[in-house]
Amino acid sequence: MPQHPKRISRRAFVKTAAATPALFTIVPRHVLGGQGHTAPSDKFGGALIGCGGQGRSTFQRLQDGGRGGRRGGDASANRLNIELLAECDVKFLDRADNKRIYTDFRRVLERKDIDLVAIATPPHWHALISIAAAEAGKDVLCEKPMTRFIAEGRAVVDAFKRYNRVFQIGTFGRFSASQDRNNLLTHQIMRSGLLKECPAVVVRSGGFKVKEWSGRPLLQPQPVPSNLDWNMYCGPSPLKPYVPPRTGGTHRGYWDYEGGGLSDMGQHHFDGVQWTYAKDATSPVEIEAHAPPADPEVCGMWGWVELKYADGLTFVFDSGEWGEPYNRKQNRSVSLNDLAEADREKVNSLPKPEPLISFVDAVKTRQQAGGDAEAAHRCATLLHLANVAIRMGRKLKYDPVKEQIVGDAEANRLVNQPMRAPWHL
Amino acid sequence: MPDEKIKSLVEQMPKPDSRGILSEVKLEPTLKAISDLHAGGTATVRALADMLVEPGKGNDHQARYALHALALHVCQLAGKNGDDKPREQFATALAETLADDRPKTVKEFIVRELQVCGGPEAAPALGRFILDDVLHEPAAQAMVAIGGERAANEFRQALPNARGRQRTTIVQNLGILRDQQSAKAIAAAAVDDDGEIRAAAAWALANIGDPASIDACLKAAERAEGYERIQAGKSRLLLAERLRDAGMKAEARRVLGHLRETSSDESEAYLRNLAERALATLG
Repeated sequence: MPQHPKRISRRAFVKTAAATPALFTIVPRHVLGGQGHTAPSDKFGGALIGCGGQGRSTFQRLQDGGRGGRRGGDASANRLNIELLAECDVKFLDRADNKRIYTDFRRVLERKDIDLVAIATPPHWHALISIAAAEAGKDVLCEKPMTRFIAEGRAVVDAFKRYNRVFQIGTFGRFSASQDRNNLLTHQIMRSGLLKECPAVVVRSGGFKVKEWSGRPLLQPQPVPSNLDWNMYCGPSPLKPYVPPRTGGTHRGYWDYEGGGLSDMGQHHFDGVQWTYAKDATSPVEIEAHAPPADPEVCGMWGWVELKYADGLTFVFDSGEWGEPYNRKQNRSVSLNDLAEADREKVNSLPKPEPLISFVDAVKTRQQAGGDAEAAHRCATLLHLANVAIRMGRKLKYDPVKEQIVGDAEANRLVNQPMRAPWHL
Repeated sequence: MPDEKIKSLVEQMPKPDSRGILSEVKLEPTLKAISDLHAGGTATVRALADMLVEPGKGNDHQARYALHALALHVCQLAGKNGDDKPREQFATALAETLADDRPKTVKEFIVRELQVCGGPEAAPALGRFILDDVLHEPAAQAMVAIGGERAANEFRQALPNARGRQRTTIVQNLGILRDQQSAKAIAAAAVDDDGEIRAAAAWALANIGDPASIDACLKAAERAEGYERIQAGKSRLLLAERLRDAGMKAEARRVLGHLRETSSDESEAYLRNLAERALATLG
């Protein structure tokens, strides 16, 4: 293993501080921090895994907590002091030194001086790297979509619970949604449990970039660029002949790596909606898609997808890019008028929900972040269920507790997809 | 169905537009053509397989699309009518095409379609590729997706003759299938010279949760360094959970105690804490 420069790590400091006798209570300010000084206990070693496209801004969010950061007051309190110690990307074959520049994330996670990891690879790597980071004791900010299929999400949730690490998804819609008065009221009504039948329908029309992120079949295989570790790029996905659009953003159009514009944009669009309707701990039970038969390799056209929860709440993804426009249901919110008089008072007397915790605060206080693994997984599940319905061409029933499609063995093969060894959940 | 008819139906499958994407697909005519192809019977399957070519050696996109759509169509029929026969007939006919002389990249596509629609009837045909240098991985994935005893048996039979990447793949998938019968053979792989095989074996043993594998799992952990050491922590936690869930608390305690004692590096405090917390819950 390569040797890294000596650095007083946050972990080392915390351990030493904890072991120091109480007698030594006068601590220099450069140790404690304060204006113009940074305490080792507040200094973090960081790594960026996946350095193309979104990577730099993802690392920036690692430092400032994204839009989840608090506003006003002492600006330094809203930031993490992170030293970027490692950059890892499968296209760094020509410059990797395994000291600061890497192609293999495993070598990064071995480093004891790294506390926080930003993950901005294509999505087929998100779950495995997130889980491996948790197992190595690191906290994670991971780009959306959280996963490529449903079972990956459950494995991420379990890993972060088991290892007691912080996970934050790299989309922050819920932070602004939770500050809106109308959304707050809807959230209170929904989480009160007093609305037994929910009449609400949320139709999201457009913004799914269906054509933009459709894949192109029939391309001529090309020689792999000399700087790209193609085997590592494919990772848990099938090792296919190299064609340039399989990398560099257009990877979104291939089922092997993502799920088209629906996967790319869906978590943005529905992160806040899911919080508003208090569905962070469950998933829809019926999913119906209007789409042509899917291609085996590339993501393509779809018209709309309806996802209905057990209480009747319905989310609709309406692409507006294929087939007849969606016209089965209209947008409809919930209000206090949907409740009996006595229940309205109960809702009004409920305590307001605690403010969502930013990634910065979660890391500092060891609490769960606002966009934690479970919430992110349930939102990613919406996208995956929609894509399974599109790909299977039939209406699905889903068990949100077992996280399985009911009575459909073939559809469940897309819920939990085999991986190429040595990668597995 | 005459070849010309099959060809004309295949030509009704979507074609890439000027940008190269499938934006102009028409729903009803496509569904009708798929239904007509299915009505052509199992001979259609071989005719479609014969249209497949190696990537970059011709335009077989519509044939690939048609085969995939048929694979989904037969699954839909099974879902609608509760009659699995059309799916089984289709998968059997598709599996038979793997015995023909075809390029491996074409066979890989067929194997992946069996992953979509195949059942136990496809396992023997897939099992023939489990030691193949190119097809072992897609065949293994299709078999794991199919699951069940017939798939496990194919892996089990192949393990003694497997080397290198094939060995890693087989060991890992026997672990995923939680194949108790393979525990002893996998324990031998846990001391392999190849680190990737060792790590796969340690995890597979843990996932199977066989108490007879405890020693092998702990020994593998003691030898592990770097990333393998991190994975060894995961394997021991998983093994302890499996043992606990099977009511073997003393055995689970032994594994967790080992994790606590051997996680001695300053950076492994979180593992020691985890082990201690887990031990406390065992009572």
